[in-house]
Parts: sequence; structure tokens; C-alpha cells
Amino acid sequence: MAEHDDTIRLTAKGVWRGFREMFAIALFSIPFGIAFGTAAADAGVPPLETILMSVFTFSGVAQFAALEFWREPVAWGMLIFVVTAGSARLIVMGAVLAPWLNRLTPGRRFLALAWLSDPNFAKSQPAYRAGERDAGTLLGAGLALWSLWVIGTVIGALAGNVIGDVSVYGFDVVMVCFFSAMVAGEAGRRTAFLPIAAAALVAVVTLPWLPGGWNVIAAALAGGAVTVLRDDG
Amino acid sequence: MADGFPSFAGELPIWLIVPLVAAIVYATRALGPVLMTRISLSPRMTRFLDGLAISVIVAMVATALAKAGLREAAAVALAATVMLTARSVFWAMVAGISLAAAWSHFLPG
Repeated sequence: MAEHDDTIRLTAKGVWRGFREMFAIALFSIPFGIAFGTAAADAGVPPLETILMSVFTFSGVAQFAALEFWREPVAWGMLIFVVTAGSARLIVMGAVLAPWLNRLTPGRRFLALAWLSDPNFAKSQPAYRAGERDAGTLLGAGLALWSLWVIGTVIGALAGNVIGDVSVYGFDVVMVCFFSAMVAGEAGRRTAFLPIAAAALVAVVTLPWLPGGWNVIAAALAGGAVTVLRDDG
Repeated sequence: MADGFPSFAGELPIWLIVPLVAAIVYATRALGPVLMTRISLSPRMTRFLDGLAISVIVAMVATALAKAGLREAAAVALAATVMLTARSVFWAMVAGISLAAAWSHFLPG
């Protein structure tokens, strides 16, 4: 049978195309990175550690969460739990992209996965369904986001005290605006309403009662549970 | 901090947070496709993860807003509204950030 061009590949051309297509949204990684860099400085994280965190972690959620734990003695158990729960959505995204990525050689697959994040997932998943076969687009979009995220972090970590209060520029709300835009993007899906409502309610109600970070875990589990129960019932 | 971890953990150097967080996040990135080569997720598990994925984000926004003031709430409300109407993450963020900046400029403190 003629196996015509349905082969999944990862090419430099695809990487460059993904990079270009993501660039406009990726520009927000700069103020986001600056906000992270200054927040890390406020939390007492040295600039080198802050920058390394952005280079090797590349996750706003996990990195902002980690700042809450930057004091001695470190609450290691809770840190692991909060970062894992905050990153659990990446497992889901990877599973969703698996039919695509698992047809690459392992080297290329795990390379592309290293730059998996919310915006390039959101862009790549519909593209794959629409017939995109070059996984380089996922990687390229991730590289655009990552490089500007690192640049923003370096600026924030090194020049945070020169920039002063980032709230003057609205940079302090970059993360929360990005998250709320993602939630609003999902809110159109019929299945999303219940977990959104349950998670918001549980997060706010348990906030005064639970130690830092645990209200997020409780809310996430509640949101996951109602999703399962609703469909079973 | 009493989080039920053995006390020796308190003696680990604080910079270990950096590689630890990076390792956890990379593991979550890699895990989805690895799992899918071995098992097919049950529909219930898929739904649980699906609900968990959005709930974590909602919980972080809700927690931030509960601790913050009207300015942040207004920025988030505007960003969400723009996202719902214009379906553009870019313009949602421009709107939310601009509102917060304008608020700081015109209504300081």
C-alpha cells in the first residue's frame, strides 16, 4: 500500500515554522519572566538559581509555586506534592499528543516533550487533528516561549531592583491573566463548568483552614472528582 | 515546617529545589506518552485527569484573587471576558495587563 505522506516527522523547517507562528504570544513570556525574576528576588532566591530554574524547568506554574517553599527548613514533602499536582496537566497533554509523538524516535520524542507547555500544546493539538505531521512545530513553538521566558527571567532577576515595582506595568498580573484566559478558553466546553465551579469554591473556602498550597490540592482533587462523578451519575 | 517529612530533610541544601522542581516537571512532561505506550487510560481516569488539569489552574487563580484586591479581580475579569468574546489569548492578556497598569497609574495604593 502506498503509505503516502502521513509520516510523523520532526524537521528543522517545522521547528522554525512553529517558532515563527508562536512568536507573538510568546512575547508575553518576557513580562511573565520579569515578574517571575522579581518575585524570586523578593522570595530571597539568588539570581543564578532563579535563571537556572527558568532554563531547566520552563514552567510558570511550577516555578511560582516553588517560590513559596524557598525558606528554611524547606517543606520538601509539600513542595513535591504541590509541584506535581501543578504539573499534572502536562501528563494529560502528553497523553493527548501521544499518537503523534510516539511515532517519533525516542530521542526526538523526549526532546520535543522537554519544551511542552500550555500555549504550544493548545496550538499543536488542533493542528495535529487538522493534519499537521511535523512535530517540529510543537518544539519550535516551545523554543520561542522558552527563550523569551529565560530572557525575561534574566532581566527580572538581575534588574528587578532597577525596574522596581512591576505592578506599575501590570506585570504582576501576567500569570493570573494567562491562567484566566486559559480557563475562559476551556469554559466553553460543556464538561468544564462543574470542575471550574467546584475548584474555585473549594480553593476559596479552604484557603483560611489549610496550610499554604494545600487548598490548591484540595480544589484540584475536588474538580477531578466531580468530573468523574458527574459522568458516572 | 511540619509537613510530615522526616527531620533530616530539613538539612538538605535549599538549592536542591532547583533540580528537584526541574526533574518533577520534566517527568510529568515525559510521562503521558510513556504511559500511552503501555496502557490505554480508562475513560474514568482520563476524565479525572481532565478535571484535575483545569481545576489546578482555576484553584491558583481563585487563591490569588482571594488574597489580592479589586485591581487584580478586575484585570482577571476583563481578560476572561476578552477571551470569551474574542477567543484570543494575546488580546485577553493585553487587556488584563493594561487594565492593571492603568489602575496602578490612576488609582495608586
